[in-house]
Amino acid sequence: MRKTVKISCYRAEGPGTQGRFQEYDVPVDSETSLQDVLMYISENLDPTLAFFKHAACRQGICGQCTVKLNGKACLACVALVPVDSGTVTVEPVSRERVIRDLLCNLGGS
Amino acid sequence: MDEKRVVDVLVIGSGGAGLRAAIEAAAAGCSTLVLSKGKVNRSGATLLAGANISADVECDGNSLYNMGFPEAGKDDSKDAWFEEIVHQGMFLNNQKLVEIYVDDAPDRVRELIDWGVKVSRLESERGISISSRELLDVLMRKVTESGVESESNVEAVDILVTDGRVSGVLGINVVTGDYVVYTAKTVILATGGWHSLYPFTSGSTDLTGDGQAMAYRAGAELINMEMVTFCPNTVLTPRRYQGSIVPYILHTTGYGHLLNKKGEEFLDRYFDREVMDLALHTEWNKLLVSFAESKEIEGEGTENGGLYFSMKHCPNEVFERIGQEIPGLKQSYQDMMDRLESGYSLEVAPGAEYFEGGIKVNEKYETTVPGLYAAGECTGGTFGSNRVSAATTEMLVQGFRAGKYAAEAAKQSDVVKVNEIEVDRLKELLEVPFESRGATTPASLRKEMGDMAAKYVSLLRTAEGLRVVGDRVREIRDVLRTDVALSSKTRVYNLEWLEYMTLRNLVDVLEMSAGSAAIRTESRGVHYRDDYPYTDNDNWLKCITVARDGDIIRFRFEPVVVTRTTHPSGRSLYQEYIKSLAAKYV
Repeated sequence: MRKTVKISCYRAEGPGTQGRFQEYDVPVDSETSLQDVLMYISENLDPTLAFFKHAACRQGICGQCTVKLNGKACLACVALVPVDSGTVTVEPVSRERVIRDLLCNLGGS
Repeated sequence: MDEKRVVDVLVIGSGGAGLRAAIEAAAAGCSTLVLSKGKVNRSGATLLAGANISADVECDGNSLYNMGFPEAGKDDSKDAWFEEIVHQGMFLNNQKLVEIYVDDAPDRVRELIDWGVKVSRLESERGISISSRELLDVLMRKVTESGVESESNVEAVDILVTDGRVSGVLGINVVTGDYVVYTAKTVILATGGWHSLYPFTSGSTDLTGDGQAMAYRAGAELINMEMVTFCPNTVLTPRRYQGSIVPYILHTTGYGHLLNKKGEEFLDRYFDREVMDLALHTEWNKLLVSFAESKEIEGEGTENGGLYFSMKHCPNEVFERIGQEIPGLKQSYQDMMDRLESGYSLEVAPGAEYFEGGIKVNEKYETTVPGLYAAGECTGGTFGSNRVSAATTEMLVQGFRAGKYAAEAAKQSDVVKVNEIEVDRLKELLEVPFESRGATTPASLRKEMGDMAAKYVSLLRTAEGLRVVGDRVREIRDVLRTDVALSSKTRVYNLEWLEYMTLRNLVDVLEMSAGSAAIRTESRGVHYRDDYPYTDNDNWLKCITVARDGDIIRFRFEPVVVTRTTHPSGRSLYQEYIKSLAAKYV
């Protein structure tokens, strides 16, 4: 069953800048991953949202798409979006290390 | 001022081919730098090989036996393997490249073992099975020990050519949006395939034909670009597993049933039982099962355009045995296995998986542009019209050779100054979407190209569909030049701008691939023409090459490189021809 969920997404222009939350209405079902949701926002609602996308395995192997879903760190590609819990919050793993929006410096070279 | 770096050998791509090339270039004493569009060692095609549980690395069984694997095929030989590769490639293989593949393979396997790779099982009489992350980690350790430097999140945008010779690469740091100008004596492309052109693929998002497109724009020749392998039994839904080849692995290991939307088995309607037996137990299934699945989906596919992969009615004992037979499966894919065990299916379809065509190379893995080398999946020719043997072996063998010869050439050359005028011209071009007031979004073009590729440059092709693609691609090229605009002017990880650079590459590979497919008016290997269902050995044992001539794309015919195996003659229906080839192995 498809239903519309409110996604509250952290937005920030860079490290040290004041962040804010932006809400998007996204259709989901019980099999929708967080990566699906972010792709949907990017392709249909707001192409300016930054999240790790350009070199992602989509299968839980590369480990690069880590974000916080309702406060808990997860891999966006394999994390399911809760359908019945009201608003879903998505944030970068660390606001201190944020590059833009959901993208963080993961400590790689 | 742009950041600038100078090295002897520059490697583009950090999968197995790029890392193996870098190790060899450094061993020869060259300063070597690896650029990765994503995270070094955690991006590219290698990472997903065998779903990270069973990437098979092959060499002939006899060599493997002599390395201490008693279950390997003792009676196998390099010659026998060579013959199979050429038969299975349906004679379109460059036999010199096949000889190198077969001859070098044991050394590449042995050194992996010497470097401490953990072998999880014997995959076949010719192959050892390794997790792909383990394979990359072992190579990366060696890369670091060799003093090779690497940079993550740098996209190579174009090859810089000065007076007909490679002088370096223009890159963009995707995180900051800053340009970086690399000066290098030789450049090795190791960028994988163009999986991500297709909306449904088993590959990662960074595989967008960058190397093929950059080589094309630099003036290099490409070959066999019509040849695209689709992996059957790639997960379509549930969406969160989409792209996973776990059902493919289960099916080749001998498990599971494929059913159409009515719950009927269908495979043996397309091929005789003995051909299907071969399909079920060897990598021939990529070709055979994908063909049958594509045909079946047209008539009796599910609403999502797939088929059911089911393990219903398997007793629990079977699931227990699978866990032992395929180490890592249960740990990595417990919930997918639980789903199958509970009687629900996975919806599957053929997903874009491997690209036989690519950049044309000689025996030194040099392209037709002096100073430019290529290795791994981004090259074309070794596997002709159908790859059955391991792509991991291809990447190691070719990476080794490309690294060695690129280093040799670098040591004999002076640094060629990059052409600053050319750099400025390229940057101006890349800045266009920031200034444009056009009406086209990168996402809309990406979707349109993906849909076209899926519909017309998939497994089953027709002249009409390929013409639609050819015409539209030329229009898209114009749209890209002038009409694409970005919603945000930020340079920091601007996904729309990155998409714009990807579109530049995808438009080139799509034009080359669809154009070559339109010219080949026969069916051979993974290239099946609904309007020309014959394999025609009298007229079509030749390769199609493609290169840029100014702003015009030029296709040419080229004889197949033959060293040992002579070509057959005659013309027969595709399925009949496959049956006659398959008969040798049954």
